[in-house]
Amino acid sequence: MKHLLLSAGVVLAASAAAAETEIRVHYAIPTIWAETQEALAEAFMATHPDIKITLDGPAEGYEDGVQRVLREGIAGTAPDVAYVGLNLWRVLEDRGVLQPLDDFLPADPMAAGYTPALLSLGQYEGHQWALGTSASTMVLYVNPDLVEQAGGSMDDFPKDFDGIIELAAKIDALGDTVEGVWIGRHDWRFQSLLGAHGGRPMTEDESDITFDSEAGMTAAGLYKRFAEDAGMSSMSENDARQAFPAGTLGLFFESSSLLKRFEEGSAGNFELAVFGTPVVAEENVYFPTGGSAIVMLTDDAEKQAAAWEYMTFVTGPEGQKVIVETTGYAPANKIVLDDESYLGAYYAANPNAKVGHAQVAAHAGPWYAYPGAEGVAVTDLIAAALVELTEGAAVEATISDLADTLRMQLGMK
Amino acid sequence: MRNRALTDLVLAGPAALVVILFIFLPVAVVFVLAFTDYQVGARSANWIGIENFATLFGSRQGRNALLNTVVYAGIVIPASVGLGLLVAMGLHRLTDILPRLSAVLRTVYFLPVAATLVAMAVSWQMLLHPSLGLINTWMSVLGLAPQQWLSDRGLVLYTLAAIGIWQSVGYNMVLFLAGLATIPTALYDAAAVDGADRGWSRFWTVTWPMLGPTTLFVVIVTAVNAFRVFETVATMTKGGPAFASDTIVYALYREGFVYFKAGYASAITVVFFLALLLLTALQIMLVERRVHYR
Amino acid sequence: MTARLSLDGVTKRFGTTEAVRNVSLTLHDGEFMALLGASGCGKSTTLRLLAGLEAPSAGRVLLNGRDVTRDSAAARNIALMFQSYALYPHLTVFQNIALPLRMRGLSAVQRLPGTALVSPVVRKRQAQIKAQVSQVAEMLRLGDLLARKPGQLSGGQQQRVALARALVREPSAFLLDEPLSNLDTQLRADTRDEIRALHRRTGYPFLLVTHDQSDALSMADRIAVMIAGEIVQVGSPKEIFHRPQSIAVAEFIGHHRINLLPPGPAGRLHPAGTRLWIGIRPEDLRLSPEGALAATVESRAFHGEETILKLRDDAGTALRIVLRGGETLPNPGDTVRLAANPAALHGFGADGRREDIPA
Repeated sequence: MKHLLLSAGVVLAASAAAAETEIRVHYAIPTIWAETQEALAEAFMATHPDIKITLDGPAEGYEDGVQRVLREGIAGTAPDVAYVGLNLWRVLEDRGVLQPLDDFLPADPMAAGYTPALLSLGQYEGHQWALGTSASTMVLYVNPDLVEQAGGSMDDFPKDFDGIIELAAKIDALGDTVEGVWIGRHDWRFQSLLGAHGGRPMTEDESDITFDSEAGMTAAGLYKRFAEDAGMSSMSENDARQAFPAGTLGLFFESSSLLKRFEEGSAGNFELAVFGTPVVAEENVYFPTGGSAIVMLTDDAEKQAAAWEYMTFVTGPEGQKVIVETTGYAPANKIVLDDESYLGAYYAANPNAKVGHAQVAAHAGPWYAYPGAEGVAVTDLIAAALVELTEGAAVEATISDLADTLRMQLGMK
Repeated sequence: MRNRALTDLVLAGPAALVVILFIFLPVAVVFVLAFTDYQVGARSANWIGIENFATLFGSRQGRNALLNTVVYAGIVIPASVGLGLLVAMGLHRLTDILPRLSAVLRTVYFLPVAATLVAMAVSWQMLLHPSLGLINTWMSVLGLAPQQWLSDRGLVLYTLAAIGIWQSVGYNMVLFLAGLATIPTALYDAAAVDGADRGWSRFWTVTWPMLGPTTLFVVIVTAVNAFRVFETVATMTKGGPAFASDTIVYALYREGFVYFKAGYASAITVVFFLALLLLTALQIMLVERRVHYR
Repeated sequence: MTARLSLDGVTKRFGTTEAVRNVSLTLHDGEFMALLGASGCGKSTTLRLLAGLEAPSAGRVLLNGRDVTRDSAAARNIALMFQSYALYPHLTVFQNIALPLRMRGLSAVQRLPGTALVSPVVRKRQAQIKAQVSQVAEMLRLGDLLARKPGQLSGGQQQRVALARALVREPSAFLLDEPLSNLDTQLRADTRDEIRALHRRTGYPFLLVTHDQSDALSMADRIAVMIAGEIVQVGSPKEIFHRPQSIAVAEFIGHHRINLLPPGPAGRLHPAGTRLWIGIRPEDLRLSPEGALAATVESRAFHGEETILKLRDDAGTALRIVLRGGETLPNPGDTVRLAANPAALHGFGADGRREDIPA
């Protein structure tokens, strides 16, 4: 009797699998991703009728999302795959809820469009834990009207930070309500400046802090110079994101992912321009890449196979085309960049987008997440130190102190 | 007899069970977690004694959050209680002269209480925007220097306090209006005959002492709300810049929900819970006997 | 007798209603006057006008011959005892009584706590206040209660505190608003005596505002009767009771409502009855076989020391008669004859005013 029931169960399960495997997908930030996710799921299911994609109700932000995935993990109801912030998958890895992807990757990742730079976004300790699904790096948004009013030239736009500071000071002098330059006092912005100077925040094995190097001092010093030499305001990130499209901020270092929003906000006001972040060092230059990654949580072999199908699709050229066109993020697959048949028309219509995407292709690098329990907490300490720099604190002392504090907090010796 | 006990148990049991399951138990869990280094999602946790508490009171960040909260409450409590009383007295008198206007103003003052704070925070952010905001525009019209209301480290806490006051004055006003309505007019007459017929002497002789119970309640409610300040911080400053507007409940949120440090967040919760309990008990013990005149 | 406090043609309007209409009233030095009226007749408003808690819409208020219409209550120095006593619940009995003195004798700065430590002037003044309060408290037997709060006192004790607070500052006049209405019967009688005694001892002019005619009749030297916002009669209790100047007063005064016979065919009670309304108090009517008035008993109510008969005469007028003692009582349905002493009859013209009945 028992035997009979059991075999009946097996038969049922087998036939269900043949018919349909359900993959539950978690994502966050519905304001950006809702439409994209629906489109991706639809396109995937059209070509894979045996797999059913179910989208969980989205989380408000990546942090909430990670919270939820962790909670569901404890309860045993975790989704099968999840989209998480590129800087946050390490939290999940640290808690041991992720499945390594090494066995799933094709023998020649390059052929599938996964360059080493792109793969590096999801690697830790020699294992592949995540695949980038969308990418963004820090670019420089410019209001050409203000540049010209200040006597600058768009054709001869400065290529280095000295020139940018000089120009920003002139724009800032235009009036009380006009700001020259602004950059967020934030871990990711700092890592971007650091990468532009060829520096790294940590050693390869994450055993020590390295942003107190010369590159780090110069990069951090930019904050002080922006404030002191170009009159950078202490306004908040939200304020700046309103000020730029409103036309009261001349130069704005921000994520390439905000292009669509700024273009819409400034429409009819001015025609914004985008430049890459100046590259200072000769070698080792990279830009920490924001955006999202996809991770696998299910430990059921059958589901893993179906989940990998889905992950291959969304990180492949077809899925990437959908993501780029609907979100404005840079793609995380080389094929889609090289083969004009995918996005050629899109770039023709959005020349500004090309700047950011090219920067990703050329210099994508990991957005370093500090290891351990205090990993997220220390990013706020970095932000606080950057605020102090803009308020006149000495660069050497502040950054050295910060590095020492981080070493202590993160348990490095 | 046993039958009756059984009936009582059936009647009171389910509710008690729900309270135990959904209130006492989670609180107990929080108290236990406070002594561990548990992280959200982690499979295990270590018993670390009072280390979390030591960090809260010993670290610069912990003390900063505590101090900010105390400063914020120190401004918001007296100001919103005082203003609430002032507005209530004004409207109370206006009711006799211009009842319509008084009713309209009452609604206006109460609006911030009724409005959802997150929505209001968006409006405040727009008003306070350093270059586009109305407030700085007015400041320049008046010949004053524009301010970075929410991003100047020296100013942000006071800006939030002002918003906190704006938010609670209306509520306090309504409570005080109710209190004022219960003062017997004969007492004002008696005071007038006795020589306390206007202004301060009238206020000190009748209004203030008779509002004692109302004031006690208002102060407790305002204090609890001030110490609990969170929404404005979370929506407008995220505790920044550089922790200048970090408050105890925001720190709790940050540690627990952004940094995933459940143990430490639990410790903050415990401290906050005990502090509020103590504060309320203290206020009631010290003041209760002196305001009800028995 | 010199006039101490008076209203001169005072009218008070609230919106469109006239609470008090053209009232003139004088309280003389040393007298005990009662202002008697039903509730809502305007007597409380009159009291507030006198005290300075309301400003008149028209007319003047005079104190010692001086126009004080625009003066505040405090400036008039008129004491007022409230019906609810209006004691300050947060202050002790001592502080309650001392409050008017502190308000008068100390400036706002001097009233601040701790000033006595600094200023000898304040110390001296406070000692005087203490002496005055003790004296009044002694007089009203409050000596042992000075440290208590009003909430810890009985109704009678609260009333004495209210009296003490009113009297402590040697007022120019003392107004009492329904002082007895919150007391039970026994305490009421004692308090009447106490207030009378207080009046004799202090010699201040007292004005008692009451709706209770027995309070007014038993305590006051003079009574002013107020009906619907107007003073309708002022006189001694005897005059008010025995010579009511109008039907309204006659109906208002007396334990039992006065019988009123409309003008009509001759032969009832008095010949003048053909022309005038005749009023006769129920206690002045008696059963008499020779009585001029025939009436049928409708009901009978036994009240202990007296029995009240309700009757109806042949013209249909309802009558009431109070019987005392052991007369044989008629039963409902019986027809009886009624008589009265001519001296007990009151005659009123068609306008309701008193007219003398020819003997």
